[in-house]
Parts: sequence; C-alpha cells; structure tokens
Amino acid sequence: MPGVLPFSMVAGIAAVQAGFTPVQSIAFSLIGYAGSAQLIASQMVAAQAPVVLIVLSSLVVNLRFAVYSASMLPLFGGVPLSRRWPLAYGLTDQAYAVTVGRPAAEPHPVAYYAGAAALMWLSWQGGTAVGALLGAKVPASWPLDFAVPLSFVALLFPVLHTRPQVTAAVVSALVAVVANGLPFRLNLILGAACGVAAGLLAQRSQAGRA
Amino acid sequence: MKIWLVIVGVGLVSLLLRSSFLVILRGRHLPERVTSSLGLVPAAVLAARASDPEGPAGQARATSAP
Repeated sequence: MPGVLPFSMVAGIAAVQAGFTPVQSIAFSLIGYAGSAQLIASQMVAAQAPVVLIVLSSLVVNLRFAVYSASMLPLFGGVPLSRRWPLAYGLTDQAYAVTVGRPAAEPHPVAYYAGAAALMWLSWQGGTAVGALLGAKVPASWPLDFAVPLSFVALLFPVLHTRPQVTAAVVSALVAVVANGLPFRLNLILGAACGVAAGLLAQRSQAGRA
Repeated sequence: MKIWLVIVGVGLVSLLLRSSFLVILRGRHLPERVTSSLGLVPAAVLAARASDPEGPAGQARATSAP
C-alpha cells in the first residue's frame, strides 16, 4: 500500500497540470477512483480531446475491473445488494490482488477484502489530495513515476502460484511490450487477453499429461 | 464544464464496470471453464500493467510538465 502514495500523487499532479482545479482533481479521484484512467483522462484533457473519446478510453482501460468483478463473485455469495455497491466501488488492482493472494485459511474473505479496499482508498485519496494541492510546485525531475510499474510488480508475484499463471504473466508482459504502439493503451488489454489464452493452453496441456 | 463531464463520465464507467458482475450476476454460478480462466486474469493483467513500457504516469508528467 505505501507504494500507492507516489502513484496517487502523480495522478493528482497530472490532473492539476492538465487544467483541473485542485477541487476538481480531488473530486476526480473520489468519483473516478481509477488510477490509470485518471492519468490517461488528464492527458487527454490537456490535449483537448472530446469528452466522449476520453470516457471511451477510460472504458477500455478499466475493462479489467469487469473481469475482477466476475472473479470476485464467488467471494460475495452471501453479501446483500446494498453492501455490494460500496464494496464494488472499492475494487482496485491492489485490493483485488491482495484479496486473491490472501492466506487460504482466511475465514472472513469479504472482511479481508473490505479492509484492503479501505486502506487502499485512504492511501489513494490522501496521495491525490497532496498531489493536487502541490500541483505544479512539484518539479518534474522528482522520480515519482517509478512507483507505478513497481507497485504492479509487487502485486504480481503473490498471485503466481501455478505454471499456467506464470505462462499467462510472461505472455501478457511480452505482448503488452510488443504491442506498445496501439492507441488507447489497447496493448494492455491485448496483452492480458493473450496471456489468459496462453494460460488456458498451459492448463489444458497440464490436464492432458495428468 | 467539460472537466466535470469527464469526472462524472469516468466515474460512471468505472463504477459500472466494477459492479457489473458483483451486482448484475449476483447469486448466479459461473461455468467451471469461466472460473478457471478467471484464475489466470490477475497474473495476466498485473503483468501487462507492470511491463507497460510507456506507463501512463510517465506520459502524463512528460506531456504536461512546464
């Protein structure tokens, strides 16, 4: 979670530098609450892209949330609808990865997820508020950007338990790098799709041998 | 005005995607083939994000820095 702070500060700074007021930057973080989408939307606002295109880009970048949502479904079996909305709002890469990588014997997985999501929310909102208030005062030479990939590397390793998962990760990373030229960060979606396909093939191959 | 539209639009899209399965498909069981492929999603998505050569933070700061 501490790795999120520089990432969230970057999101706050980027929004203010793109033309958001500090209040709008903080509101964006509260309402949107999606790191990559916030950063990409800030870029596009700065480039004066149309609103429809900005929202469509955030749709593509956030598609993974739908997959996370499906993956978390078995966990939420007995949770009433009124509690599902706030729990869904807190669904992030970090909260998801921490929950998926939780100890197998954890007796209260929903509470475990809620705790991770709440901690993540506080870290994210605090960081973006600091970034929004500091805004242009932060020199571009400050090495805050490194926190973004590092935070994902730290989240990745705890979810690699099986050979198909490792296969999915390796193929996904390779495709995301090779397809880097695609617009709207489609390289991430394509990489993840190819990674899942490769992982499924590895699963089949394992099952065939057994 | 445009910035507020972006804030609301991105917020709506994010919430709908996050709640899509948790709220819409609540109580339904997914086929085993789907659940087994879902087990691969975190590894695939996080690896793509970690390896993104032009991470969005770098781009955002580079394009908007004074």
